[in-house]
Amino acid sequence: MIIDIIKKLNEFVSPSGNEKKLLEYVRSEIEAYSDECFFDVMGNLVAVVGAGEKVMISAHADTIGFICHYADEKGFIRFQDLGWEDYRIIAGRHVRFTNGVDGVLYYEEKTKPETILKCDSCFIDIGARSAEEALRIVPVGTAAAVVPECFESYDGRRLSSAFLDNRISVALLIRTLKELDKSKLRNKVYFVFSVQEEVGTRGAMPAAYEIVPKYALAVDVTLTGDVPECPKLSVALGKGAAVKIMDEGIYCHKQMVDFILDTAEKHDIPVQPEVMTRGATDAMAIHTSKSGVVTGAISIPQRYCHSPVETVDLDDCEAVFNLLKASLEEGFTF
Amino acid sequence: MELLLKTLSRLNGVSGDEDEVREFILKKISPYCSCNVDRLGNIIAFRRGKKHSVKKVVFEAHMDETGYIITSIDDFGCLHFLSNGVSPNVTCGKFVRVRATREKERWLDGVVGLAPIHLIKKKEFSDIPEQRELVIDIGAKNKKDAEKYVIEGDYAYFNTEFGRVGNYIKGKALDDRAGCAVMIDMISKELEYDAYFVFCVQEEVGLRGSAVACAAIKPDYAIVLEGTTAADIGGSPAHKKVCELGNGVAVSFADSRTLYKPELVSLAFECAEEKGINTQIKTYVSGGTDAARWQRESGASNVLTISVPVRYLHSRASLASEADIFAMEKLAVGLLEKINS
Repeated sequence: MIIDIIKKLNEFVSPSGNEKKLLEYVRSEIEAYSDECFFDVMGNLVAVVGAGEKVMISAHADTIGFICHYADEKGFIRFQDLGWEDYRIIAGRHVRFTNGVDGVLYYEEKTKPETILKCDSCFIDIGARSAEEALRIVPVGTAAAVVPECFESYDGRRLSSAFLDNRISVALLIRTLKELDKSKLRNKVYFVFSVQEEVGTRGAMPAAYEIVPKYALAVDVTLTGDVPECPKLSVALGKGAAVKIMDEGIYCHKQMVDFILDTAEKHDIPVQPEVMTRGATDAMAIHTSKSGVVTGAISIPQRYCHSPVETVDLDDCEAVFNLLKASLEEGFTF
Repeated sequence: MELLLKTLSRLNGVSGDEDEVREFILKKISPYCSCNVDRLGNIIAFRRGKKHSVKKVVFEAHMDETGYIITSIDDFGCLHFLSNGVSPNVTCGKFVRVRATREKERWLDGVVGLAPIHLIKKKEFSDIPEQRELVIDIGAKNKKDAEKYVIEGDYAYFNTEFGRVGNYIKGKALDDRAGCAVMIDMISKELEYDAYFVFCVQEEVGLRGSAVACAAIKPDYAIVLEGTTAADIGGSPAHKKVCELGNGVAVSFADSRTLYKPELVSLAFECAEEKGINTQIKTYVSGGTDAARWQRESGASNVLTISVPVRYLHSRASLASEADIFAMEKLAVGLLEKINS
């Protein structure tokens, strides 16, 4: 079950630059299902199966978070962002550092209610009483993230948790690799669990450079336009796997988009076209690598992006899994 | 070291105009190593050590500095300019020198002037002028007169004497001539292991030189030697000091372009502890260095940035502690051994 994988992944604190432990767990899960499985220098986990023209399937394994840079004389920790944080939602949360230390994230009380909070006006209280004590427990450079809580909706159709961006995709890639019919593969497929996407697609970039794929697919979450008073986007929860046409970082290769849509039709998998007006994914870094990569992306529609209650529809997740599996078994040969 | 720094600080090399700096460095290092200049103007040097290295290690510093480039000449003969990394509030009211293509002495003096206090209203006193309001006045009679000496694309520099201020050294371009000085000194001494040394161009305009240098070498480790902001005196809140002068070489755990591997940051501190090198952690996430390119531009490499704390970075006169520069050199030498052992 996807929720079980999510719950397992939620045991790790893996903000950008600190993905190692989570990826070691992923490796232990998938090693037996891949021909080759290794960490590259950047820290990306790469699992290889099959033979033929190279395909890179990338899902980032990092989450947004915080990084400690200072503690004041009373022991309050100051931090900066790892990725885009929304402090309207984050202030007042239980956070955990990568070394297991728990803390409370709060804002300076002088802050006026209408002020947009930034990291500089917030702090983390770990219960330390002096700067020395705080930095002994949490040295400068130690990263943290919100402690996620995962739950299903009343009917079991929806799943909510922090960091479904992008642990839902990591979970789906693990499942795809396990359940894929390897005998049908017509490509050498590189499953890349990439690092540092939230700080600017920094992991996928050198991975693509080293792999030199002909084709690539990024798997990530996408924004929806189906909640009150939100930007007008056509993507909605429950309408199927989102097939990316464009976002701020890429215009997907037309042949790739057509191939994905044709595969969906052939296998009767629900899909919806995705035009995301804000944000980008690993696809951005991959498609301009070396002399260019035929790149597209399959996305899981997700509400409340970058909040502790990111929400997805489990039928959409099923569709993304089916679409990934079907595409790989059809083979990228166009 | 002071003499070397003095010479380097006085050389002029705004991004794109690094020739003077490059020629000096080549002259200094060529007796000790094999080196070549790539198409963008980076120096790529290889220094043999006593032992062959197990890992391919690169040390990198950038040769360019912040300054100005002339964009147009107006009817009054004043020079309009673009600023590479210098804010208007440290530009106005300063004395500058223009490397004038058409002037046989090559150097013209100029002043970046502003309306005097008599002509502005009291409430305008605290206004910072915008870049486009600033001009360099070279004392030309008119456009035609100015064009006898200067053409668009000429570079302009702060005219700063190198010297000592109390416990510190003062000069322009300490970011990153301090790094260059350390690397020149390392090359001239005997190293335990082989190493590459890259002196890059055009860092200040977007890490451009290193973008190609990394593809040429593809190292296992790249260690960037930099100058970084020290906001350690009054005015900055305690949590934004970044680093402090005299407290040793600053090791970055993150900057705005790169997250450094926690285990490599630890390695630097272990090395410092073993060798008794004064080292501090850079306590703010700011700035970006060439490490971003080395880390992931041409496949992935392990990277570290170690920096000399510099007050008043990107301005006419910066201050730094010589002891911190020595600490940076010791840490660089120590890391080369640690990585290879």
